[in-house]
Amino acid sequence: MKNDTINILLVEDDEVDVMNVQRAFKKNHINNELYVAGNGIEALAMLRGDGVETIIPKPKIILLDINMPRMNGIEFLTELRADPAFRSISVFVLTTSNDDKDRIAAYDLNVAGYILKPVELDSFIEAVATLNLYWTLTELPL
Amino acid sequence: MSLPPYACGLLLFVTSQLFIVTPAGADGQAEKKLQSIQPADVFLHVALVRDELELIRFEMGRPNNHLAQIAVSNAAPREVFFQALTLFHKADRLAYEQTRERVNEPKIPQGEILTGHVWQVVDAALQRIRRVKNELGIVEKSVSGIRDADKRPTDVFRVIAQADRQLNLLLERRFASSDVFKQVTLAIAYSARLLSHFDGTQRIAATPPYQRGKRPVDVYHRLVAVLARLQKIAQQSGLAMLTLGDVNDTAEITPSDVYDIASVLVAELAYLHQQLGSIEAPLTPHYPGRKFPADVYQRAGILEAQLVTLQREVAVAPDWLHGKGSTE
Repeated sequence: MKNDTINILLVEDDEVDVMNVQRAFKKNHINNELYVAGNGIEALAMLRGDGVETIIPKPKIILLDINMPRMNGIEFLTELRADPAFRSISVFVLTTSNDDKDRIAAYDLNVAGYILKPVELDSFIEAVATLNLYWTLTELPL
Repeated sequence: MSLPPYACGLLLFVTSQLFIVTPAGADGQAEKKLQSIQPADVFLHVALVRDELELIRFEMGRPNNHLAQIAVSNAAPREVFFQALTLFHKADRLAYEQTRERVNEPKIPQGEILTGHVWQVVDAALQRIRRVKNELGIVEKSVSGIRDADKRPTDVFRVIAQADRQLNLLLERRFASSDVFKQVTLAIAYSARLLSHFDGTQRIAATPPYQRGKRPVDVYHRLVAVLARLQKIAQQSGLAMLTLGDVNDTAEITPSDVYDIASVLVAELAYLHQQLGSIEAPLTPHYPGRKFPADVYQRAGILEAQLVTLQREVAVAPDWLHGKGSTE
């Protein structure tokens, strides 16, 4: 499957980290459309079209932060997995939280991976390159 | 004529109600009252905060703040306002630790920040501190001192900064690097909006290398340098900003002190942002998780790079704040 046509949703409240992901995409020549939501509520609204334009086609990959205002990453994942329309989306947690509680909760909610954000930009770019390789190799549901 | 303690308390209560209750038709009166408040009134109110903190400190058996007053000059009400906001944040954290109750933080005024707005924030902090005092069963009362009409915003800034430091010594969970990280991130967000005014500039600079082992004092020095650069940008733009003097004893710099200087930076950047008018203000960042001084130092590096760019752009277009506004 040619995966560079699929939409990706980044759920992240930190503008610096959003910029780092965008830079990593550019550096790695990842051409997928990247949508950004500032927290879980905004992300759900973008998926469902509640008061904002729906992302079409539905994203097949979500990059998710944990510490966010209004609705954090774990709360968002709980909502996402409870919704039949979105439960098959591959979610990669991309966070600075090294808390076991968050890690266990995330895997209980079937995340595809839990990645600690590297503090060095070059390592971060490499991590995104690895992710890209992974989802390019993976057959995602239609 | 001196008033008995209960009368002072009553007077304060009545004054505070003027700002809380604004029924239809009373808006004008409250606005007039707000404009009539002078730095001397705020100074007196902070003195009450300081006295109440001393009662709490004694009860809790906590140390006294012995740090020398911060060397600052030319402070304006907006800068004092943000310093007062840090006082409120610390007072609210103390109240939460002691009572498990939280209240909403005072709103940042949309237009010009007046001395009256500072009074409101100091009063909000005082109410949180008095809640703690009640919880601890302290019955001694603090009495308002004598008003000194010569007090200036800079005097208020200094006395708030000292109260801030004392408050920090009363907290179970003192202001830490994660709190400073939030403030620096907010400063970056403001700077990004300022840079968006100039076509072709990078809004958020690339993250610099991570340098392990940094201490609060390193972050402090980096932020002082950033503030100095911001002052130059303000000067180039025809605006005045406060001046921060040298700190003599940097060995005692704590994250709380770093937080205070980061708050000054946010205040100044918010002020520049306000001059642009049409760009939406950034949201206060959420708790970022555990952070070390090295994380904050790295982030402060992004801020520094942003301001280098901004300074370069402003040198070419010093009337940027009088232009058409946002390109975003």
